Amino acid sequence: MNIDKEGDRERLLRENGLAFFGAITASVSHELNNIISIIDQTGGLLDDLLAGARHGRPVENERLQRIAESIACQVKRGEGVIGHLNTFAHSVDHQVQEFEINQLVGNITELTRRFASLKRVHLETQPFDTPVTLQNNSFLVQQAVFLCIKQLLASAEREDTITVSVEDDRSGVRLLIKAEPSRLKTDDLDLHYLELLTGYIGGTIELRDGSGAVVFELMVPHWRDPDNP
Amino acid sequence: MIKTKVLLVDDEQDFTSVLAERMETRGLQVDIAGSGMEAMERVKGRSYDAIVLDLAMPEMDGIETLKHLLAQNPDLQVILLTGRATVEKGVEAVKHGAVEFLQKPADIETLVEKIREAQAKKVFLFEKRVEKSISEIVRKKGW
Repeated sequence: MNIDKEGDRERLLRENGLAFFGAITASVSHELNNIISIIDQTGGLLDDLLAGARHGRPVENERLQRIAESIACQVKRGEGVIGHLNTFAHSVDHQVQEFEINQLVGNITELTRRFASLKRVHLETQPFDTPVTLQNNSFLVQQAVFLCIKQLLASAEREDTITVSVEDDRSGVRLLIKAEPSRLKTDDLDLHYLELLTGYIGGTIELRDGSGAVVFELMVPHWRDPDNP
Repeated sequence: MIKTKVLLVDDEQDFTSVLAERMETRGLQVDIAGSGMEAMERVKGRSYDAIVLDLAMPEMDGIETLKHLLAQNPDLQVILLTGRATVEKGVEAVKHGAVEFLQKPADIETLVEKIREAQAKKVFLFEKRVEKSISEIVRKKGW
């Protein structure tokens, strides 16, 4: 991949950004469709029970209560998904904006959860113990986290665990995206795009393999000049 | 009257439990499998008139499950019921032997109608095969 020219880099960034946005929205739309399908069938069940009642089969109050709870539960699930999607959608509002890193990591991890579930892989987060506000390109930071998780998922197997943890020190925020056990064939990896991406947020990316785990270490600076992003 | 036997394959438990109840109200006998692997185990021990299969499932997706199920028993009548209904996926599913492709949320009466059609097709295929076997025996014996 030749990404030496500035124009090529911009194009690559745009194309991959769109692909990332598409992957997330496709996954969320699938999740929302599942929720709607459950509510649709539960509403249909209510219709069936009412039709039965008209023909002399009484409906128990407890049964109705359980149906109401089931609908409320799905509505809550849907609200959660929409909330995460809304936060994600607004991350493209400005090239550089203020955000709290624990929240951002939590949000993108939730949006990526379905990808992990499809492989029966556990996806966990370990936030930093205090809030850390950054001024950077939040969309690109999320894309970098997503790509790291995706690369680890490609070689992960059932019941493996991927953990995204946040650490903070003077030099910036360190995001550790770790897969246990280590299954990634590091020689097969193409890190060029991840390096380009992290370059745009003023950070660095490293891959470590050993001690039974493979870890992406993504460094993100606290501050990025909004006039020269 | 013998009930139509259906295997419902979907990882969304809340969805399958309600749909199964509604299908049973309409005279079907329903078993549930939460994954493609579980579906393959189920069909080993039981004969189903139709299998209703989701496309996006953990580990083994709907198309893969479809291929494995039909490799196990080519007479199985598989209906794909999915939220990811693209034309390409529909064509792919039919190419691999699905008899129908429905999109979630699906109307229960349409789904039950498709299941009954699948059952009729299964009976038709069975009768055809019996007829063919009898003709073969008659031909060999010179009757």
